[in-house]
Amino acid sequence: MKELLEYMVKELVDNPNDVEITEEPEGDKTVIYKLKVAENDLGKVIGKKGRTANALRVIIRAASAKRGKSSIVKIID
Amino acid sequence: MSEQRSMEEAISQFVESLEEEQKSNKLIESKQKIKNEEEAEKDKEDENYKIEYEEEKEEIVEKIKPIEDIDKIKEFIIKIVSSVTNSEVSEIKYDKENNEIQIYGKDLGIAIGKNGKNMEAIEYIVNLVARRKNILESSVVIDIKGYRRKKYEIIKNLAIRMAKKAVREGRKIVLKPMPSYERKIVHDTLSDNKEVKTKSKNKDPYRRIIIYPNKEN
Repeated sequence: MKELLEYMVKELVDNPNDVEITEEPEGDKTVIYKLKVAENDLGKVIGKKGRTANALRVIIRAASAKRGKSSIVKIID
Repeated sequence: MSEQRSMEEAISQFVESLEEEQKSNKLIESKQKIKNEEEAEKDKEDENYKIEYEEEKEEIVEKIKPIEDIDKIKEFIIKIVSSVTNSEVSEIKYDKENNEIQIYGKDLGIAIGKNGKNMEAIEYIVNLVARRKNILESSVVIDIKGYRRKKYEIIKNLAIRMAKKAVREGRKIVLKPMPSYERKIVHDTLSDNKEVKTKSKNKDPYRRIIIYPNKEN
């Protein structure tokens, strides 16, 4: 799932080398993904009214659900 | 091969539409200039525009991206869909006419999600990336296992049925909240129906259509 998030985000930003994702388990089934991108790419991963961030969350949540897990995506600014 | 040819067709159509647009822009420009200039110079001006126009046309052809780019989008979609579903995409095809990418495979349900929510999210991200890379001229529609097509028929039938109900009972009918593309189906379906009118109220994701019977009838 981390790979999927990373893959999508790298396609969206101008500085793919600055994309950094850390996983933090919370409880048995939940994983928090902390997403860091270059400052000038923040807008790109958030999008207008947060639409991009939400779409990314929906996709990651779907992938997690398929594997019987839940996930939280946090964008670090 | 036929797909490549259809992409070529799509691109040549796109070039044509660009040319049309340029042509009309040029026309407006040239009209303004003509206003300020002597009648005698007019013909010469037009000649110049013609030459200029021909030159720009060649430039556009060069700017068009190669056909293989649709494959990049396909690859991107396959990667996302197969990662989300933990399953394999067995077939993916590009329908040029509707600018739609159709995906088939076993066990892809989670990529569609409740009311197509997950599919919408995938479509949104795919179009963002496509636009960023100048791959597609207009937003591509993603359909997984014909879900969208089925949904289209269902909503169209619902719209027709509810319009009849509104007329029959002489009162407004409030539909359940729907996403924008579904509301569009209702509006489009009923736009020719003179017995009713459709309006939307509230904000997404609670935005819903109300069908009013026309008083005159």
